[in-house]
Amino acid sequence: MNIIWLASYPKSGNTWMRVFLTNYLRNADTPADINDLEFMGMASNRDLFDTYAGIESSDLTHEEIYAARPAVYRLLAQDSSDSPELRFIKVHDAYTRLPDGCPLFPADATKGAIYIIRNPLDVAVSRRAHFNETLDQAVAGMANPKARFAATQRALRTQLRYTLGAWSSHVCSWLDSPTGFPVHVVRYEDMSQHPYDTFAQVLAFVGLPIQPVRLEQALRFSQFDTLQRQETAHGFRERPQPMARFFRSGKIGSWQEQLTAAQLAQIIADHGTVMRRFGYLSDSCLLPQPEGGNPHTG
Amino acid sequence: MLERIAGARFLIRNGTEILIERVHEHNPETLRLFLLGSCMGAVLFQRGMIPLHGNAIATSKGALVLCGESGAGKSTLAAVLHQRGYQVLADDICAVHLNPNGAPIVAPGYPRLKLWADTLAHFATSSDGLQRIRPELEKYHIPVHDAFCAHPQPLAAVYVLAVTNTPRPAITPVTGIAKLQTLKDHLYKMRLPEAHALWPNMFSSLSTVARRARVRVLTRPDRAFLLDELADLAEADYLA
Repeated sequence: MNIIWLASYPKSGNTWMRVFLTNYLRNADTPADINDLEFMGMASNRDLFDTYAGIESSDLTHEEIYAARPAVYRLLAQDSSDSPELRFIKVHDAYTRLPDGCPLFPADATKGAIYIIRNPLDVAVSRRAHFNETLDQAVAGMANPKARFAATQRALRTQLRYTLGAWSSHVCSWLDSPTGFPVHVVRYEDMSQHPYDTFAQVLAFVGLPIQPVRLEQALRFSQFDTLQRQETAHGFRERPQPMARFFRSGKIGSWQEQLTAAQLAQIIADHGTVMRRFGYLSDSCLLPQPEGGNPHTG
Repeated sequence: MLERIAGARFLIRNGTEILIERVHEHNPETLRLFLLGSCMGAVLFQRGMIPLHGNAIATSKGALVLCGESGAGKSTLAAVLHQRGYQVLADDICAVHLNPNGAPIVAPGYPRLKLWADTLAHFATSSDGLQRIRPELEKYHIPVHDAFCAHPQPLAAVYVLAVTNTPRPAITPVTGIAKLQTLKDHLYKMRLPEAHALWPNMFSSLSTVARRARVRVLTRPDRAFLLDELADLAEADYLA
């Protein structure tokens, strides 16, 4: 029972969280290499499934794989070959249950989850670049309750098919379901504007000791300009091909320069309730302005 | 897990017996798939052979084994090489053993390739008349009896296919201790309760293979086939 799910809708700061955690855990003299981060791939990684299932997922249907994923995570949690006390696994899946009611992410394999949330207005801008789509497509994609990835029936992808759903239902699936394990919510904007306290709370949640000097160093080593420099020098293996750079802008509030009034209105119509809940929308309809904090991972 | 999907329980004994207990009705093609896959991998393992997960092609210099994660493109590359006139030696599982001189030998496997619908479309091949590996999947058996090598071949090289975000295919040597780790990473995946007991022999055999065979990582960009370029790189390398 040692898995900590690092869960988020795409483009919400998951990579930044992994970079920080890698730097804190390794506690080395130099920043961790962004191409050698801790944590074995994503929950929907096909090779992870094949390794623990012991059968070829390429011979299975999407539904069979989905039904087998909880068992795979249990085996992963029980794997004592490398005996980590904490096993962090990135997840973009919404929190769902199998047809028989069994949760995709079993509580008996899980210590907890960290859910990273970001203003959907900025998520739309960021995902447009990542998925090489138009802003209208990004907005529509974020509202699509049936949104899934790697769902083709005609080819094999290195990711297993996974379900995103709409942005607000993704958030609620992780935060409002009876998961059976503790879930700690982190706002991207707090990571940027109040990094020390925000990351200290993450460490406390997972049960790691908070050592101030170590924490300050990990924050420095995971700063946006450090990541950008590394990407310029050596590339970043997790950058999708059409994108020129993964560590692109990192600003909070860049939606103001990019979204049209119609796109803004659409996102608010689609996700206003959850936006209000997390401080991204107030009753006066004026969104909180960024306090001019440091730019970070976009 | 396997039981629910295959509809049966499998017990593999001493590398000579496979016992199947049908648990519930299921499709015979599905059962056959697991028999030829996971069960055969277990048999080879129990016999002290090295089951690598990949395809093998016969060349003038010996067998090229194409390994890689699921989805990396092993079968697709094997299909290109088959089209270029090479004989298929093995598909899905490559059974490697050491001969009395300690040389790694690849045994002939199944005379077929398994290809997805998109790959067939890329080769402008119709799926009409081809059998699906399972009714539920758009993946097909491609018989290669006309271009199948039925004789064991010395292992010349292992190419590990990997997907990257660089724009063009590339080939990189794997040297030293990394060769052993790479081979270990590409053993056929199966869960065997007695794997720990068999591991010391496997480790020793893998070390010998690592010493004798050339190992390369062959990278290709995601979402772009660029198959000819990839095949050219492999050919140029093994001929060198």
